[in-house]
Amino acid sequence: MPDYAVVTFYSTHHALKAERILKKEIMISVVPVPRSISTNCGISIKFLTKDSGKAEEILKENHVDFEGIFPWPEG
Amino acid sequence: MEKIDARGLACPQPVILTKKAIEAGAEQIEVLVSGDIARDNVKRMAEKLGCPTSYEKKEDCWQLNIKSAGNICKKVVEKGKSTAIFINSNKIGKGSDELGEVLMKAFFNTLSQSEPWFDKVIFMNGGVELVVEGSPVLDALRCLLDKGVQILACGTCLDYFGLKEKIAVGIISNMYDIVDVFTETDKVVTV
Repeated sequence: MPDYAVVTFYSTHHALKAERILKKEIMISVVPVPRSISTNCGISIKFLTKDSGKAEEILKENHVDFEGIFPWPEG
Repeated sequence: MEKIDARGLACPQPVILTKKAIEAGAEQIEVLVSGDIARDNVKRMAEKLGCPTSYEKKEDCWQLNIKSAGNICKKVVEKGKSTAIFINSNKIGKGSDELGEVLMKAFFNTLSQSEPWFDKVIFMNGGVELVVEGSPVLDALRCLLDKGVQILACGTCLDYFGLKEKIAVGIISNMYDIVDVFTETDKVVTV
């Protein structure tokens, strides 16, 4: 099983914008925020851990606010 | 030997004619149909009724051979709990289309992560866009398929959108099959 990470947002609008931008560059899937990660917005974006750096870079370049990037919880 | 010539008939006509013949108690039925989809739909219906079915390619059509020794053709009703999910759009709900599309992705990605509590997912109208090439939820649907979930896409709808050739997951179904699912299933969840 590859390792995954997930980025969470303060607002659904930011999540939607991030999805639009990130899907052009890396493999992502839209998922509800895992219950074990507390956040303000229900939608998060999951990608391979190895793409974390790239994802963070892209989001910053495009001025998309995000809450944090977390390891995808096991199970 | 009962012969049914259903060549060129529109869906679900071949299925209806064959079903009538089986229910009327014909022992051997030979059915001619034009296309692959009609062939598969007729075969599926006959086998669901417990009738062994084979087919062979003829010059300009398919010939199905159905054995239906009267009494073996009791309808197989699946016992126990069964649930179907009915998807009639490529997005969830009304309000924002953009949000609706993302919600649909999140929905299927979540479904594919859990043990399926449903047997079938049915796609109609704009929902069929989710089962064709380029669909954002294809991986999730393939994952469900691997777990034994049946995926049915409305053939009329695929045809309407010009997507019949592009189906990437599941089987092309018809109103007849879909109404059967609703009739036999304990619970239908419409998304």
